[in-house]
Amino acid sequence: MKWKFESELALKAVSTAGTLLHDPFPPIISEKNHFKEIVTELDNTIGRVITHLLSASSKYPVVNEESIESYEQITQCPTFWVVDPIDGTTNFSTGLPFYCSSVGLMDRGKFVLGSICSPKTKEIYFTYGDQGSYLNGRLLFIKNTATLKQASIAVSFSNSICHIKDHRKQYAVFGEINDRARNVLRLGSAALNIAYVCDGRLHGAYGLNAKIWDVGASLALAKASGCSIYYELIDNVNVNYIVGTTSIMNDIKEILQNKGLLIGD
Amino acid sequence: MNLLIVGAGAIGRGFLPWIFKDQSTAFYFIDNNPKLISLLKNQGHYTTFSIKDGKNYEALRVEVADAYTPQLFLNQAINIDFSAVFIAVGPNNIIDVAPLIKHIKSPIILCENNPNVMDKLKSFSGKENIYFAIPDVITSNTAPPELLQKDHLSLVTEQGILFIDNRIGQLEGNFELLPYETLIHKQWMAKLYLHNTPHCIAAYLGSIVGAEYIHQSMECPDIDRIVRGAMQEMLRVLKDQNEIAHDFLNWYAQKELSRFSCPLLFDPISRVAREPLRKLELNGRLLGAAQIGLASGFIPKNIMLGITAALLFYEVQSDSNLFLFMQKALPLSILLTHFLGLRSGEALEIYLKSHLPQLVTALKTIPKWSGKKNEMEI
Repeated sequence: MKWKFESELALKAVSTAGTLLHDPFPPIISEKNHFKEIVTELDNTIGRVITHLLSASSKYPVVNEESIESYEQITQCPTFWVVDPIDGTTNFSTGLPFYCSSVGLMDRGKFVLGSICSPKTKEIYFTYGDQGSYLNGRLLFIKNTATLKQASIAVSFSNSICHIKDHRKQYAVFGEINDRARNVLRLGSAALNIAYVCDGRLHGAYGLNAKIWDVGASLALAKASGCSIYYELIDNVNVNYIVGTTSIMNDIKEILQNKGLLIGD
Repeated sequence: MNLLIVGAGAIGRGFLPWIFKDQSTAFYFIDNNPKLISLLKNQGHYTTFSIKDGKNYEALRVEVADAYTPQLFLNQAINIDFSAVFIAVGPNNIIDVAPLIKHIKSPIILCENNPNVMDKLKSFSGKENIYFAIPDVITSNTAPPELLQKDHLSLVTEQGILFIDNRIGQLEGNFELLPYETLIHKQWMAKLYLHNTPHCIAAYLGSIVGAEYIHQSMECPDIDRIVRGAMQEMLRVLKDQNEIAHDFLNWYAQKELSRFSCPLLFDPISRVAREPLRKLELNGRLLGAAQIGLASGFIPKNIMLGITAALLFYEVQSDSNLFLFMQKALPLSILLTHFLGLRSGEALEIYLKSHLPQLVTALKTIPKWSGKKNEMEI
């Protein structure tokens, strides 16, 4: 079985993070570069713990959202870990349960394994080597045959959306998909958006200019659970992605392409 | 009469035809295994063997009127007047049955190991003519090699009893009708805790010592002792907490222990032990049994060994060791709360968290199965 050891390591890492995320006290928040981008003390603590755990047992370097000093160099390596200590920090800071720790592995441009721990909902998603993805030990396999009209879709906007090119187009796309789907949600965690597609609670998810550490683990889960996936790496760390049933994935892709928001096929 | 059987496995193919052997019955099968359906259609018949007097097999040749995959059944819009539809697909597959019974007006009888699936199927299908039944029997999904050589579709069953809700109306066959309340409070309680619980414990323990069949597992003295111990723990709970006659409970327990040890049944451990997460569900045959034991004021130590054996279970016929993988990667507290759904701080969680290492050690000391083959008469 390929990637079994690394899958076990990822699972161990997120479960360790999950135990740390049970801190009952309100987190101390600080802003990063923008009022929309916040970080808590726990982000940093968990980031250090996960990085240490992975580095101690694995030869692959670690790209950790909260420690980005060397990610330019690391992302040139063929294989590296992508870690988001808390995906959904804003939710975490206010007490909303939609946040998780995410650990994935990128190998030659592909997301090959991942694990996500959502501590408030007591859910752990993980890939089991190259033999499928699981939620709390139960095999995930997308059976959903919903069309866009019947679909609940989740979108993730980049936190720096106000400053990225085409951000008005992204809002317009949100509106168009919302008109054509049953509904479109913005849950606040890109990783969980995709994970919920894997287990059937959502029918599709998409995001533009997402960070590879946000979605790396969950895109690997999605692939292993049989979802249709489209993703394109914009650069070393940014990715556009669409996940869902084949028909939903194609519909969303067409809408994004018509707005000129995707790089290419 | 025409009978439709959804789920051509142990109960559907092996046991139910015996119930209707005295009636002139045409058997139609649906199963989601296309290879099995193809075999049934092409062969047109198969043999089910019933254990007679504990020593011999009695054979029943079953003519297959027709067999379908679910998709084929729906595509062909089968318009046969069925006297009844029996469903034995496993609780996890019950939702898939809903489209198949959409136009069925006759009684739909669920032979599933969980009465809750009845409401689930009613809710999904919108139909009310769905009834619960309890096959009080152990049926294998295979047969010994000598029988399989003659007919690779053959299976072995005991001479069991089928209890059905007495609201089904008119249907002829060798079954017993019971009021629903009796079905649930007496027969189902006995089946769940005096059959399902010790049966799966025998399977999980057997897998650890390398046995292939349940009767081989029961040949190991340590396993026999644990299974009997689990049975005593469940008897204690049922006698304390229910108004079920003790004579009935004692008789039922003894009957089950004899069944588990029957060498003619060839009941594979892989069948009994499959889907360990379902067997470990809250309020089920393992965790539920332990919880009611604790609620009764004692520690059901043999049930605890059974739970541990289920956690250690290695999927037979598969290289995958998912539980071992999860155990290596996860702290025990997370395994118990996230995967088993126990609440942090509840009695069972506290006990397992503190005793699991000793329980694992105790199981690892059980000697391997000796591997002796049993001779049996045909």
